[in-house]
This record gives sequence, structure tokens and C-alpha cells, in this order.
Amino acid sequence: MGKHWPGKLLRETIPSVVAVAIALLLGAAIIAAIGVNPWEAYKALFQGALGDASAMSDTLERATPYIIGGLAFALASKAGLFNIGIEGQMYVGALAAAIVGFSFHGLPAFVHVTLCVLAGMLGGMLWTVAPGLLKVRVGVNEVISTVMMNYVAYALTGYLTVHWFLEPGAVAQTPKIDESAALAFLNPPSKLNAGLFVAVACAVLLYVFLYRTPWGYSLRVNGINGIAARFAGIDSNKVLLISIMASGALAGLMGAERTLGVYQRFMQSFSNGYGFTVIAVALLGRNHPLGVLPAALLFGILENGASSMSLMVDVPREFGPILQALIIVVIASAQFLGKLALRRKGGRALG
Amino acid sequence: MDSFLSANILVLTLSIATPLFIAAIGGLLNERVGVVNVGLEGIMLSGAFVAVLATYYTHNPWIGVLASVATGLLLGALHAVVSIAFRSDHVISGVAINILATSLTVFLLEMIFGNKGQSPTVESIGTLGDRLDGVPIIGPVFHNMSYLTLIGFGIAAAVHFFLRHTKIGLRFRSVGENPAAAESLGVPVMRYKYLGVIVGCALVGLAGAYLSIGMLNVFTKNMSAGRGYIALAVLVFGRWSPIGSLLASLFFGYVMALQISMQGFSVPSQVIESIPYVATLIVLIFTYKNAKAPAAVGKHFTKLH
Repeated sequence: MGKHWPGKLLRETIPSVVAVAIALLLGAAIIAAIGVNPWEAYKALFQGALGDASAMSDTLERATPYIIGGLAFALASKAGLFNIGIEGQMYVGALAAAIVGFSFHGLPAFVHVTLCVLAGMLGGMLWTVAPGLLKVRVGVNEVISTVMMNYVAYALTGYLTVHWFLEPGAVAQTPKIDESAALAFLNPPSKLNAGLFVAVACAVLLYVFLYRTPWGYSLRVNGINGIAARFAGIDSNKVLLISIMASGALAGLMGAERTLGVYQRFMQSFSNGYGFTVIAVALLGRNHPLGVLPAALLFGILENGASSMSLMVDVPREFGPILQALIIVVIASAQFLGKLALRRKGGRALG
Repeated sequence: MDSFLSANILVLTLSIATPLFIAAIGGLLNERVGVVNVGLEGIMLSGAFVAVLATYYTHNPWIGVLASVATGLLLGALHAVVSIAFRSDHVISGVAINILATSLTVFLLEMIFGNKGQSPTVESIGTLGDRLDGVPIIGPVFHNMSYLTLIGFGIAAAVHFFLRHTKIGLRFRSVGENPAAAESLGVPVMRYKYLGVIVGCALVGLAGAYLSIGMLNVFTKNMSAGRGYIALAVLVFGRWSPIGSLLASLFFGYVMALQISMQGFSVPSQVIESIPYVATLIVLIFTYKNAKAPAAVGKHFTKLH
């Protein structure tokens, strides 16, 4: 944290807070435009998200994958990579965890859960090997390659679900995982599960890794300036490869949490774009592991609140994702506000 | 199994290639002035949606086409302001546009049509039909060709001529290669940057119109399905040139058309679905090594004077 941390903390958080405020105002304009009172709508949203213990549990349940996925994106970003493939990595991880979950029987719970989680992380990690190698060997921009891998992941998980592990039902889904592989619910009937603790632990661990270890330091140097990193003797390609694989492992963990905690099986249609929403979460959290926590909580509030709001007032639940998207647009612009402030302080470099 | 050059495969090839090369040309206009645009996906999706919306109310698909171009202009202006004036990371701005487009189209779909999955069917643009079938050699090529494909060919030719054979086009390209040098020669760099991004994005919106009212007559949720990103690969494959992008997209279209016509062979549908994306990855491996992007792509430019 250093001795200047209060000032630094303010400098880091103000742009995000301002961005959220602007996005909420823009959202209010949209609600007014469709003829609903924005004040009433927002009241319904926040009451629906934080009104009582069960509402709060649901909000935390929604925030859990956003924490893990936000960390996945932040980690890659810190190394100078845009991992837009978190969605696909999460899909592969979710299915891998499910397969281990329903294939083994009679294991002690702790062993079984650990195996499933590892399978999920391995699945997500595997999905980043090709983009990582393409990046360091051929120079292919990871934005395109990770997105392509998303579509391959949809196809592969769909194929395996329908042709190998199909459990008859209304949707494409696998059998349920064994009891011993399930993550414990914390406050039933809410689906909030022990995955929340795993997510928060990951945030703390990643913070320690990035800011308190030499490996984390070389990763961040690489992200700031790859050429300088190479001059300092850092093997830039190795750092890139390891970072994107670690990012994929976290994305796989996010899928495993959904499988083992919430759905207790793999469903082909389980995601509503988690893998893309976490990009906004990470940006709002300034790509900092501890910043991801409040950002993910806010996104959980917006998502959970939007669905209860749609029952109270005449606003579709898609309003939640819209607010999330607005936040990211404003953040992209807010970098500019930060630069303006700097310019005012430091004067113009070139007359 | 059709023969490798049957009329069916040709029609299908062009139908797959059309949105790809129109969007790729829009993308390369962005990159030629030094702006990366990964928002092609979202701009295409928005263009597709607004095209249906306008056609639904006016019953005239050409107004839908104009509306999709206007949507592209608008989102292009947003991307230009955020990435040029605000000097934000171009990729972040593009991702923001994609996420916004995904959620807004579903939101509006429900608000306006009361359906989360798809819009009602509307009139589509129409095709040449069998008008040119009698002409030898090119007859089968033009069979059932969409008017938008024709317009796309015109755009490719025009952009090629503009970039290669006009004074303005040369200056335009210099902005993406070395903006400082261009400025020192009196080229209005910022103006060209805005022009490239906004006109480019207008074309991407037009490509979206082809998805909803050219190929089909309806908007479905997330119907761009990664085509915006494939278009990025197409423009790399086509070496940042309009004619190259056209040829690259025809190659893509042909490979995919062959796959689709093989659907009868008890290949699981998911395997077929993943072909375009795997093909994109493979093409990238072979073209990226010696691909030369404009030198100043993704960099911010500060006016010196």
C-alpha cells in the first residue's frame, strides 16, 4: 500500500464511482423514456437486491462468478492481454467439473469437490493454450483468437452434452452430479454456496501474488511495457503464456462454481453472457484484485435487483445488463476525465 | 452432395461472404487511420436490429438499409469520440460497444415486439432472381444474388480506387502509417481519423442489414454470431485491402458453403457449426506472420501544432 495509500485509494476509486453515477443517470433517462418513474424503479431495484437476508444471499450468489471471472480478466490485463475468451473457458470448465462430478461415486466429499474444481480449472486452462501459443509464436492478436475459441467451446460442450452425457429433460443438460461433489449452500433456498469463500480467497491470493511477489512484479512490468520487461531480463513470452493460462484456469473455476454450486449439473444454456460481463467488472475494479470485489458486488446487485424490479414496475429485466454495459462505456470515456485532471495539475508537456 | 461448383454452392458462398467483406472493408477503413475496432460485432448486430425495426414500421426494406447505415454512423461516432478524442484504449471501447449492443437489442426486442428471441418477420431486400441467368458464364454467379451483394461489390471497387488511385486516399493511408509525418505535410490528421472510423462503421452497419433483411427477413437474438470478429480475421487475411478482403471472404464463404452442403453426411451439427471459427484460427496462423498492419494502429496521436 505504501505510505501514500489513502490518496492513492481515492485516486483509484473516484473514476469508478463517478462512472457508476453517470451510468445510473443515463439509466434513469432510459427508464423515463419508456414511461416509468426512475425513482420508483431504482427503489424497487435496490430493495429487491438488498431488502432482506434472502435477497442479499441471492445478490451474493450472482456476484460470486463475477468475482472469479473479474479476477480472470484482471490477471490477463495486468500482463498486457485481453482475454475475451472467458465465456468459452468457463463453458469448458463447467462441463469438465460436471463430468468428474457425476462419473465418480463414493468419494469423500472433500476429495470429490477438489477433483471437480481441478478438472474445471484444467478445462479452462486448456482453452487458453492455443490462443497463448498463437500470440507468442505467430503474433496473432488474442482478441480474435479467444473469441473464436468461445464458439468452438459452445459447439464442443453442446456436442458432448447432447451426444455423450444427455439427461432427458426440457433443455440440453447432463445428469446431476453426486452429492459428494456439490458445494454446500449457505442460506437455502438461495443458491448462494461455499464458492463465495473460494472467490474471495482467490481475490486476496491474487492481490498478494501481483503486489507482493517478484513473479507478480515481472507480470505487471510486462503488461506496462513488454520491451522494457525484455531489457530487464524478463522472459516476456513465458509471462504471457503463463498469465493467459492462469486467467483461463480462473475462468474454468468460475464455470465449476456454477456447476457444483448452483445448477449441480451442466446445462448448455446456463450462462447469460457471464464471460463478457466480467470484462466490465474488471474494468470497473480498475483491474485490481481488491477492486474487483466491490465491482462484482455492484453487478450482482444490478442483476438480482433488475429481475425483482421487472416484477414491481414495467421495466424489462434486461435493464440490468444495459446498466452494466453503460458503466463500461462510461469507464472507457472516464479514462479521459482522469487524463484531464492530470493535465490540469502538470500543465501541457508540449506547448 | 453437390458438385464443387454447383449453382447452390455459389449462391451460398456469396451469401456467407457478403456481410463478411462489407464489414471487413468497414474495419480496414478504421485501421487505415490507425484505429483498432473490435466493436464490429456489436455494430453489425445493431445494424441488423435497426434495419428490421425501420422496415417493420415503413414496410420498405431500403429504408431499413438506410437506417442500418445511420446506426453504424452513430456507433462509429461513439467509437471515434471515445478512442480518438478521449484517447481511451481502442479495444476497451470496442468491447463496450459489443456489450451495449447485445443487451440493448434484447431490451428493445422485448420493449417493442414483446419477444426476447426474435422480431416479427418483415419485408426483405430481394434479389436479382433469374434476371441474368441467360448470360453465359456469369449467369450462375448472379443467380439469386442479393442487391446488397451487388452494392457490396461496388463498395469494394470504390474503396479500392479511393485508397490506391486518389490523392486523398494516399493521405488517408498515411494517417495510419505515420500521423506525425502526415501532419507535417499539412494533412488534417484528426479529420481523417474521424472520417475513417465513422464511414467505416457505417459500412459495418450496412453489413448488419444484410444479416437481417438481406439473407433473411427477421431479427434474431445475437444473430451476428461472431461475424464481426471473423471480419477482423478476413481483413488481416486480405492484407488490409478491400479487394483482398473480398477475395478472403469469398474463400471463407466457399469453405463454409461446402461444409453446409455436406450436412447430409451424419456429421453432428455442432461440428459443422464450429467450422467457421476453426477455419478462422487456421487462416490466422498462416497469414499473421507476414501480415503488415498500418504502422500506427492503436496508437494515440497528439497534435503537434
